[in-house]
Amino acid sequence: MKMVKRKFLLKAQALRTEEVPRAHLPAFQSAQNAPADLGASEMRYRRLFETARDGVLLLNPDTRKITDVNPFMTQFLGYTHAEFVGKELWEIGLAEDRADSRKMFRALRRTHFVRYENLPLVSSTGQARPVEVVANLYEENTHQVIQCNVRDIAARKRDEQALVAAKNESCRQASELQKTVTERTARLWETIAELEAFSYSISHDMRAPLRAMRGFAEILLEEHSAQLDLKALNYLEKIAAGAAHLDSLIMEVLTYTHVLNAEVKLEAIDLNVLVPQVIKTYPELQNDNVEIQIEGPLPKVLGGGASVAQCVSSLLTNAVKFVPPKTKARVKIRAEAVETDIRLWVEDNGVGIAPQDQSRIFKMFERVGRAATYEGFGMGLTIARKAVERMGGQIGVESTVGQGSKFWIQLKEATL
Amino acid sequence: MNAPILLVEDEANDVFFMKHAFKLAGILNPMQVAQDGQEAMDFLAGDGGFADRNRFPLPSLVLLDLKLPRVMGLDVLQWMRGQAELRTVIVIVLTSSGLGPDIDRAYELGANAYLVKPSSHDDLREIAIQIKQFWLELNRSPAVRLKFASLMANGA
Repeated sequence: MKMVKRKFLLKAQALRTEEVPRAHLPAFQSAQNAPADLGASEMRYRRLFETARDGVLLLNPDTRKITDVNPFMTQFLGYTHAEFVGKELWEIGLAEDRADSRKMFRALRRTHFVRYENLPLVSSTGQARPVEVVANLYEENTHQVIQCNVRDIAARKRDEQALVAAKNESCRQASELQKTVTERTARLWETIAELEAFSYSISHDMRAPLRAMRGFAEILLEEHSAQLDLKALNYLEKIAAGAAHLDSLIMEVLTYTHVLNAEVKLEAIDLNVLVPQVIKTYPELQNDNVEIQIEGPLPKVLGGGASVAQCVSSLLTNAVKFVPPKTKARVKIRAEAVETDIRLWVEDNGVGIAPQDQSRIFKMFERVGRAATYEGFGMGLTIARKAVERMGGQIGVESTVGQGSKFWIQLKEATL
Repeated sequence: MNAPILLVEDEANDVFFMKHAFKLAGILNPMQVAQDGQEAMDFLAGDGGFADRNRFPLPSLVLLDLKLPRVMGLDVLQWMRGQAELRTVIVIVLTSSGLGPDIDRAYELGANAYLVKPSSHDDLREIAIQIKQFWLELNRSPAVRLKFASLMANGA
């Protein structure tokens, strides 16, 4: 055993080539006097030593000098094999100085193992070569030998640094994004506040002259009709109607901005209570020409009270508005469970909506078909759509021209 | 003689419509008009030109617009509810704004009712009739009771 190891070291000296091509190996095998099986084994390990893509250093623990290095090491640090042999570890950066080197050897004698995660070796041209080093002290019968395995970690360190840089960059971008979002949100809130102030101002300032137009026209119609001819009365009626229409448009825009901005607190809304309340509030829903049937009992939904009422009133007032002339408006209200949602249907016997118009009716200010037919369709459904969206729900319609429309809103069912 | 009604309103046309509607509704109480919040406060406090309580007696009812020059309606209301003499005077807010926050705030500050100005004069007349029937006839108001109390005290 002792013989073999010593030979191994000697052979290591003998075989000084940058590389050991496979073709050379049989010659190497035949050149030794050792038994064939030992020779084969030694050659196998020698091949590992010679071709390894990691550095291997052999050291004498007594002299602390390098006794052998593999080709990778010579390439890696740019010293020839001859230059390597006899050097101490601190000379190639593996230890800081002579004292550090001694310390390392003492540690090796004690624990037989030392590992460095990240050391800067120094090449012949003075360049730093980051490595990971594992040093083992082996007993070889009467003496000891130290083997250092040296791994080039430059690529790994580059990757690590790139990773850290990328991480820093992504952190920087995230914080920049956060800043942008914060700034824009602040600006948005400012705009919303301005919009609200604007709405408030509109509600007061624009409605006042309209009240004047409508009010004086009505007083003229009621109290001074004897002094006016039919033409004049007709004009006055048109003035009053125009002012009333503009006023309702302003109110709709105000309602829309309010629905857009108001905070919606979701709570359980009992449709059995809310739907009849809405019907009671609107005179046009209690007309003799209107029949509203509730297929009850209705469930509870999750929504904001005012928002749900807004949607229901929009659907109901629409449902009774577009009936063919001389027809009694018949409206059916029913609820349907759709998974964990409730779909509230409002079905009418109105004129119906053509397929190409069915998505447009939910869009602001779009009037479907001839204005006279669909007068006032305007914003009610737009407001309802926005209100439903703000509660996380949906709105839709199924309709066939001449066979009425089935509008629906869908909200989460309140389980409490 | 009936205690006056104070209308706090800066729009001349709205003042006209209100007086007209009250007349049509058969309300006989004299109507005093304050054209802004400060004037309303002066009137109610008996300050400036309103010191003579015989000429300018305290109203039994205040109709209060919210958007007013100088002092806003809600500030007038808040001030009133801090005055011992005015704390129980009936205040009906009558304004263009039907916004939730205004309604909530008005009631928090002690409004007795909140009405939104209708654009139709017919509707305004209907409001005037309702005010007459409920607030002036059906309702027992503290201001009226105080007046009777002072009359009795004067008589004794």
